[in-house]
Amino acid sequence: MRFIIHLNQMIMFQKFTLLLLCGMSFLGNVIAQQSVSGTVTDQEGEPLIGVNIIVQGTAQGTVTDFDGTYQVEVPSGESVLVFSYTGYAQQEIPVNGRSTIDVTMEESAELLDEVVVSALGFAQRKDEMGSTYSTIAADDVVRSGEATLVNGLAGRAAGVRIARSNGDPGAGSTIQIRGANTITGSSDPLIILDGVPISNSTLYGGGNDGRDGGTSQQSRLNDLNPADIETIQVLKGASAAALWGSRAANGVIVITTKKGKSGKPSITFSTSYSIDEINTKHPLQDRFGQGRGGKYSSTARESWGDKIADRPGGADVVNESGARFVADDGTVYYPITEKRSQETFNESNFDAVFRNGHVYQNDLTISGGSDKSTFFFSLGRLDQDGIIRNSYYDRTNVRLNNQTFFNNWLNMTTRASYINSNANRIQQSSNVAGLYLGLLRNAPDFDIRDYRGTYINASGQEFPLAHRAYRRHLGGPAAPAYNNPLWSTDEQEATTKMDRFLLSSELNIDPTPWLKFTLRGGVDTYTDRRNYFWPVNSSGEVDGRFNEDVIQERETNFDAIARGTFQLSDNIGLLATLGWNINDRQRRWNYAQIRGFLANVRLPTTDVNTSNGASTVTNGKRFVRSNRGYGVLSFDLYQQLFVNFSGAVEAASSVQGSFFYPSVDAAWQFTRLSGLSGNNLLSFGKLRASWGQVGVQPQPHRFETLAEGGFTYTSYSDPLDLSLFGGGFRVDDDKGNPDLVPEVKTEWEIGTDLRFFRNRLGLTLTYYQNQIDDLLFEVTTAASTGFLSEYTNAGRMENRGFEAEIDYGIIQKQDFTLNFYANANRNRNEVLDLKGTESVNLTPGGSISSRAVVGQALGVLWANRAERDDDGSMVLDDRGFPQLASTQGIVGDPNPEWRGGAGVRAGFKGFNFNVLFEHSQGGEFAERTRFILRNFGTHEDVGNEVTLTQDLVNYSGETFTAGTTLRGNIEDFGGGPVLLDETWYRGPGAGFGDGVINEFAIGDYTWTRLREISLSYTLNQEWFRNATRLGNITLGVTGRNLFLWTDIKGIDPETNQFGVNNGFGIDYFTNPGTRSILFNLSITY
Amino acid sequence: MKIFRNILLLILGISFVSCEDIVDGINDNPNNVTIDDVDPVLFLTGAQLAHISNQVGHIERISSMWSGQLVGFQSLYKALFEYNLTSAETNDIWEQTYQGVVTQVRSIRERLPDDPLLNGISKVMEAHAVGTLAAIFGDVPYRDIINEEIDDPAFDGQREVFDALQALLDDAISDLGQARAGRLVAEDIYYGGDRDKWIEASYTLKARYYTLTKQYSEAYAAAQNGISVPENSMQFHPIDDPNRDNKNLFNTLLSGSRAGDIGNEGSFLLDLLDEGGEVSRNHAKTKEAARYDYLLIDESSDRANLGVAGALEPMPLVIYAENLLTLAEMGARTQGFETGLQHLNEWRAYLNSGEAFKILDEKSELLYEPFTAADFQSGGVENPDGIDPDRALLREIAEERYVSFFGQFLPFHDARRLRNGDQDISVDIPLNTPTATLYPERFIYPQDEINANPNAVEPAEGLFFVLPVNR
Repeated sequence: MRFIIHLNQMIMFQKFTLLLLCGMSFLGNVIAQQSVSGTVTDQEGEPLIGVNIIVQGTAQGTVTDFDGTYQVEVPSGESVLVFSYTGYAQQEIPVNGRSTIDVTMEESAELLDEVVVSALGFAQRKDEMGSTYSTIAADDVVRSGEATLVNGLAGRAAGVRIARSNGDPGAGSTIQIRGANTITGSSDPLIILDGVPISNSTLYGGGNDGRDGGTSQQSRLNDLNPADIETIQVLKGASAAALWGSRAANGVIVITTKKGKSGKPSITFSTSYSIDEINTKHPLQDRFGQGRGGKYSSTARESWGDKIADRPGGADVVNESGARFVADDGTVYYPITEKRSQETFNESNFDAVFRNGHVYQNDLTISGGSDKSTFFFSLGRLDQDGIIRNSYYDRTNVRLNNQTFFNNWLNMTTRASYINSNANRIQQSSNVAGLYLGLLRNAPDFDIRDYRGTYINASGQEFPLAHRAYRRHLGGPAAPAYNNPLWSTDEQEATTKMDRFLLSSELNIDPTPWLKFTLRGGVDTYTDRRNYFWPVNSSGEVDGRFNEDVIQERETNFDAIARGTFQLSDNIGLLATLGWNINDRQRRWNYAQIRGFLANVRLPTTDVNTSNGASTVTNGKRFVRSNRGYGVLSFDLYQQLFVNFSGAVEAASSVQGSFFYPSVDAAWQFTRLSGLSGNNLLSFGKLRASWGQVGVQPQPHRFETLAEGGFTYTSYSDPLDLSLFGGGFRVDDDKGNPDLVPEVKTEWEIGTDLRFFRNRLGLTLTYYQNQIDDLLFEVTTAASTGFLSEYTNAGRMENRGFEAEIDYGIIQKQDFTLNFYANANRNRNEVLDLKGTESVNLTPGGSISSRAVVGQALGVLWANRAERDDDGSMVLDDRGFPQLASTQGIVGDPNPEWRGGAGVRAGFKGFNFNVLFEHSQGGEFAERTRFILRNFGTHEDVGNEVTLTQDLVNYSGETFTAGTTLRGNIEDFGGGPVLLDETWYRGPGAGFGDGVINEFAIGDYTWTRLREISLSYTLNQEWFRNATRLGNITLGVTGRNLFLWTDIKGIDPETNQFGVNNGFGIDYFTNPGTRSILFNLSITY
Repeated sequence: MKIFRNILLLILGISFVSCEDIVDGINDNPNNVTIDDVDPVLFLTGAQLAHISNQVGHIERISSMWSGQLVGFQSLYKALFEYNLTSAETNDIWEQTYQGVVTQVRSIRERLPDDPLLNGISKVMEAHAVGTLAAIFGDVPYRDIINEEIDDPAFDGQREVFDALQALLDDAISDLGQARAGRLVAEDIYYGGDRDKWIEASYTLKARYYTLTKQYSEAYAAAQNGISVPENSMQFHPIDDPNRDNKNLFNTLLSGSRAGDIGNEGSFLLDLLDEGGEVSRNHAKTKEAARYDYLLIDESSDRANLGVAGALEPMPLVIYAENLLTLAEMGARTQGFETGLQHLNEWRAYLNSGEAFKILDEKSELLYEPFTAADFQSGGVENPDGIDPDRALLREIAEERYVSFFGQFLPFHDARRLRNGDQDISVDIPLNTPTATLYPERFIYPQDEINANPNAVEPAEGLFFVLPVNR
């Protein structure tokens, strides 16, 4: 059956191909044409290379060569030629029978008739596109003040959600376009750099201990230097991306790097320096000390101890006769017998681990060329010190782009880039060796600064390199329960060192004006070496642990593309594209681990324990290859209707059989109708509609049922480990599935692009709807089938959404421009079917998880709830407190109702000003850090004292009479006011584990932030240029993320405990976000 | 420009003629070996571990709590002791039966069709594993299991399953009979590949299933060829090394956070063995103090246990005691009083030798004098209440089985079998809670099977549904 479908598709495609071939072979010669030639120069008379020339209303066209000359065939003497070039005003010039037309292009900031780059890497006019393209200017990304590229995209395009892991230097971010398109696959869009796909993987690796803890990991897209980028385009719809088949369901981001310009070399040096700080802090209480039940205890987990103000003051009374701790600086700590000191350390503890971060970026670019070839060279260096001690990220980028014209019909472009990055990450999240877990749980009356020293026990035995933390203030005898945060920053290490090469080459052959061939190949390869080091006495790894992960990825890609333009009749033009692609991706990893150090040292080496039993090594490989043929037929009809048909037939190694991905889109420029043209109110109007299918590839290597080794059986805390019985194998309990097919997303969209008042107001509106079929995940199977799970195509999901972008030029004067711009989107996601599976957990490991549940949006929060009756109100116990429901369920939905950005851009003489606000409306966020800190008694929420105005009962049933002043809060759950005190917060009202009502950790996800505010001044006046021989100097200052308005306390809601993941909306001791001020200087020679 | 047209044709040729060839084979897993890469015999140890986990693990412990042999003191085991069982509890035994054992042994069989020894072993293990499920759940999937074509295996009648397993055991015995004697199989952690021991265990299993289906003559006949000497018992032998996860399962359970949760102090079993117990079975001819010592479990920790829950104490799968006491019961039922008595006395002689279990305290009394017919006459030591002597003999055999089968499902099987129709000879096990009125008659189907297989229909009576073979 599968074979027949596949055969049909092949036959269909072959027919399509034949048609195209016939077209190309004959049509090109049939229609009578005449030739126009000329030279295109800039205002200074320098020839411009690569200017796009299109015969208006047709797909026919060409680009200027290295002399700025061109030759183009036009259907008649009445044709109009459209000249466009990035950064210059477009010109429409009637041929009027001439055979030579020379053109001078004028620079322009307004890019009304934008040229966009398609998924295949070819320039197309945006006004003729039937699907949605969002363009993000590279300058915006550079100016944004974000050290990494992905974060620089935030807030700049409707429907593109950038969700960062946290504020760590170099940390990766999730990119999601038009909502979730897969459950267990990667949500990352395909990244096409100069026509070639590159890796944007975020790999967690072996030493990271799951996604709920460990360290943040990088997104490979951030390896790119924003200074090298010319344009970034986001292809959101299925039809625009369909040519990439099973890799395009999450949309495509097309990035084009800069090209050189021939003539006088242009040398630019730019430098920027930022000052970063934590953007929001968890508020902590400092009125009550470490302990429980109102009594001080130096070993208690919680800070439900005595009231600090009631202490006598002065030095603590200590017992100097026995055990003690001698800190590295010689300070001696003894067991406290009476706590007298009123000192608190919240601020100094915080300042000990947090600092101002800095990003120092320097870029040198040289662009130029001779009459035969142009080049663009750049050298970039980023040095970032994070806001957490010892966290850093540095990156060096080198790039050389070259274009050589061998003759009039052959040119070649080669782009080479080398990237090296180094970073150190600080352990975070659900992880007793993590920074925030140790800092925020720390008692307010415990000074963390003397964290390392020698523990001397009562009998005088010395234990060097001991770890002093708030529950082990002598650094012994037992291991610290949680790290002293300074131990996390100064003793532990989690480095990543990455080397990457990106190389691509493109050969363009233009044998005739109507036929072009492009051969394009690329290699993207990197090696990432990560070290994780926990010295002896680290929490959770008291005997020491060292991991080295080596991850290598290589992606090679080759395209052969033929394009032909044909004038089918006076009013019908055709651009036919036919191509073949082969793409190969390989990943290899080696994870080595040593647990239990014999030598208590700080050196990450396998020499810390030479016993074979201490180390383990695992390795793995992942291979994916796809082979794709594709074709596009682009028709233009009557210079106003533009229709594209495209199809790709793809065979991929992880998919059984071949798949066909069709798409169609149409754009109608209705303002070209005779009655509507030349209208000053509506200058331009386009209606567009598109339909397409794209996919998500299954995980590779899942066809076969394998032999599995190294397993353990247990029935209940009574394991039997096969390796202790001589080893062996079993038939894997996860069944292989040779019938895997891609998840297929079918999407349609309609929209309009409108421009009013002589193009001063631009408006773009789009509505889309998609359904994803055959979603892949692990289905639990009946044991009697002989297998326990099967990775299979088993679900359905849909998205519906609306996007709007607006840009209004309020003032357009020679010396003064003022623009208002905004974008907004709303996406509704619903999981339609999971083949009987109740829920799929996207974030295993926490008491609150983000899941897929039928009938809900992907990512709903799932946890213990309060017992409720049929009308939804809480069932209270006889004291008026909520009770724990017997089953877990949905407690919130982190998906926003809508998101948007709005800003103002202004230019006055040499000054440029930009301000951008971003808003996310609605949804729920799990404030788990806050919820757990209430249990620990350290959060400001539980530092209050109240004086009762009436008798109140607490959770354990004790009544407190009116007039009593005590620590706690008053709350009414619906049965009258009750007292929330330690019995509630250390009972079901806060904390972790099965017994707490996690529903109370949920907060409103709405936030608004000042994403960017920037001001720059450019000196490029005539006198300046003459006086300094410099082209220009630009000075700028940017404030990034300076203000945040939200009800979420203590953490930037943009962070995600689970890092780069499909599950989101949960904070659990996640490293904080940042805000910055950035100064920039750029000098062009 | 013909050359370009040719290039184009070449491209087309490459891309469409060999579209899938280019990606063929890439998806073969580079990280795990395939089933065919591995010598099938290497699948045996894992299957045997899964089988041990099923036979002497959590579910067996629950059955023992429901049979007066163990007591759940706290946490989960307290709830289970009080008959509060949820369907999540039985997921593991199904997984470890169908996937852990049957999938594995069938894979061995499929790949080694000409190896009679491994075929035989594989069939015995399948029969043992599935028979256990049928005995404690009732109707279970069997005909349709592990079939690529069937996503939702049908549930077969309990009696049909046993009939099929009897046939499978006959096949196994025939295969084993063809195997070369003296071959060693190191991966067989039960018997090391000893053909003759496997044949004997097969007959004892046949006798067990005939007993369950009350086909007593067949049971007697099968047991004739069953485990003939104690050394031929099928057991799990823990390994004497410093590791934890290869020890007696009860000992492992008590070594961690479950210490204190489950034991047998105050159980009906120990009361029977205790000389001062309310229902003590000690008398002039029988002194159970040494066996009491051996079976007593200290629930407080692993280290305190040296007897049945000692770290290195073997655990029973199919043992000599079962065969001999099946001969005794079935002999008495079908061959007459003398035959039954003779087999019972054979067992008592073995007990009396002091070899049957570890003697922990030399001072504890151990005495099993042979019974005579007079002991079962009215007023005899085993018939103080003057019932029919034949029934009195059967009653003593049933009680002997009860105290000799500790740590297996057998007491649970016997209790349910005799409660129906043989009430007069059955061991009078008390209920575990004052409010309970019914004894559990089975385990409930696992949640995962109910979720994934529409054929899994749990009877309304749940735990208390009397299985067909016991009606």
